[in-house]
Amino acid sequence: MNCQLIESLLPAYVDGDLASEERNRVDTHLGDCDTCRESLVFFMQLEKSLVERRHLRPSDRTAARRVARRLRFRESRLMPYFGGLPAAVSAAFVGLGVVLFVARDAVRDFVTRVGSFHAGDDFSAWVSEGLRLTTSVLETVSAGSEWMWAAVYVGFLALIFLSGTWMVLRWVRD
Amino acid sequence: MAETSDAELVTAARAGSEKAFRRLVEQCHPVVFAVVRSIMGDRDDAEDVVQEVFIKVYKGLASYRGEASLSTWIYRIARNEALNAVTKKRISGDALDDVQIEAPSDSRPDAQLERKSERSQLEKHLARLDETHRTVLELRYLGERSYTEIGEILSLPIGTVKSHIHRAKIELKRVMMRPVSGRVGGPPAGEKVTKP
Repeated sequence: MNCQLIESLLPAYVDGDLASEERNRVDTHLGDCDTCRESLVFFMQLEKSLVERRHLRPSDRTAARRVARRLRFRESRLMPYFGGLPAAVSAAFVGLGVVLFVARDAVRDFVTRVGSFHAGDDFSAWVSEGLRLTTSVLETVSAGSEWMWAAVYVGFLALIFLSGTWMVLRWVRD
Repeated sequence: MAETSDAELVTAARAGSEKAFRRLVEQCHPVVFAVVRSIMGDRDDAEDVVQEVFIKVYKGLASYRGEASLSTWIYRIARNEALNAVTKKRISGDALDDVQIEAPSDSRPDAQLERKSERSQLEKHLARLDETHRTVLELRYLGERSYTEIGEILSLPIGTVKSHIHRAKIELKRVMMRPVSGRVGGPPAGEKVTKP
């Protein structure tokens, strides 16, 4: 077997694709030929370099997420999006509106007090007034019931917490 | 890719299952990326084209009748999208043929720099193979597909696939080992190397 023929068989030899008879002939030739042994080294290194190129491919999962995100974006222009954060925020605002309406007298009183504040007043006074309004609003809504007071307070906190968690989970998933 | 799982995924994706479509994308992404990159070369926007391919796949799912295997169908979409992207770039004057390789250091390179330079050389020479050889190599190594899968995608017998891969490697050796001014492994004589 001449070197040109052997070299043409070396890629298949490295890949293990030669029949046993051919493989034996190549082995015999390689035992006697330095040039073909060097060629073998080249093809083995080439194989290693080609295998290492797999890192050039981005993560399949990340690619799938990006495609899904683009498709959702395209569809959302045609279909209304009712779920998730917008609904939660809307519900929170509606709830807040109801609470403020029910406790409108306390709110009106607070607005009047705010109007009488002057520039330069102590910031802590603003905070105290805010807390006084919150307390009076919740007392009005709960009609004196501590359970109702706690339920409304916890309800709003839960809504804010759930909205925040939803946003984080959505971001992590994407 | 098992035929049964392909059919199940297609059916579920058609019915609107995002999970099924994402699974489909994950399964087919290696092939699509390998094909697009084999045509577009070492360009960052190959990933954008890959996304466009899957958008088209999604839109075309309703009309996919199963005459060709799913992998063959997706391969054809990927090839067409990549060729269109290359044509658009050429029309817009974006230079595709400039080969950007890092200039070798004047001083003796350390192992990392030498490795990087070798990789650049390999990319450059891969880009010069003919399309068939380049595609089968990319499907085999970048796409990590078996001979059987490559044969199915390209509608070729397994023996032909192996033959193409082996010939591609021999051709790579021929161009990479071509002596230039006494330097083994350098660029062919008279050929310009464009530095960024």
